[in-house]
Amino acid sequence: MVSPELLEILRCPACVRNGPNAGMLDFVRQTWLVCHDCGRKYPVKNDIPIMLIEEGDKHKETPVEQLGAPA
Amino acid sequence: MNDSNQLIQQQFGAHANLYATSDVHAKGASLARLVALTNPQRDWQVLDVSTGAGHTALTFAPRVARVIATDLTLQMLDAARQLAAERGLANIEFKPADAHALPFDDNTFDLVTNRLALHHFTNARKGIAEMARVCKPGGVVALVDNIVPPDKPTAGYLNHFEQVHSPSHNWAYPVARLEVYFADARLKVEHTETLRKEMEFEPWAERAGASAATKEKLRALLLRDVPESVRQFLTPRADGDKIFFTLTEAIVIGRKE
Repeated sequence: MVSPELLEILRCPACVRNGPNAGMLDFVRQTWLVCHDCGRKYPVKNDIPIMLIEEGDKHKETPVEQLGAPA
Repeated sequence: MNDSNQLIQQQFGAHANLYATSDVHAKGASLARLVALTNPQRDWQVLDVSTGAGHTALTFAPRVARVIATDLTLQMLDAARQLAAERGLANIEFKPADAHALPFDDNTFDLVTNRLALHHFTNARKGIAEMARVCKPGGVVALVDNIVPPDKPTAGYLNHFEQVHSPSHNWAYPVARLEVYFADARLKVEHTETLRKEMEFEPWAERAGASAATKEKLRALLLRDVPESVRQFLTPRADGDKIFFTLTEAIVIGRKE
């Protein structure tokens, strides 16, 4: 689980510098954080979000409904 | 992942426990000075960037509302998490992140710290700009890092010495350069000081996983081939079969305008 307090301040590290409200994230399927702007998907493993751009890149093109559990 | 980040993960991942128990990192004088200079408050949200084994984050956690600590190396974060659990600290979270691209909203933290890590950054200016970005207006960015003298040949020799010791070492800067990076990030430098710390050669080399051949090369750079300006800076000395030398740390405190 990612706490609401953490979700409030977490942003996509690739997009956050693009302006106000850039890089906001949705917490989906209890295991992924998905960027509103670029679609990068950051895995949450053992409740720890892996907020590295290269991790977000791996499933950027995968539709949310096809996301499995993070490897 | 770029080559520099891989080097950092390989080096620190392999030796996380040695950094967790290192006196230089856990009890260095700069840690107490950081607390004294930043005067942490009970309601503060703190970010410790490149936390390593978490020593800075663990020091601030009992004094503030919450600490988030980031690092590129998962094994270092595991070591830090274990130290936090041993101390019963529940207001500290450890998150994987790249210091050059922090995954946080602008203007979020009252204090952002970064201790003994900037010399590993591939782009120190960008790293400091990121710390400034996530710091609240009126908040503080507090940096501690090893520094070199301003003259270029000495700075080059010292950085080569550190690169032989630790392949992920990128560059240590003169304090004046750090102050320029702060100014570029719209951080008003309120305080700068330097501290000398004597290092014992063997554990320092061991922590970085230096081979016997690397240690021999480092000894030569430290004792035999050393230019006078470097000797004056590192002040190497032998005591029995032990070798000691001295590094210099700078503390730079900047307030976001």
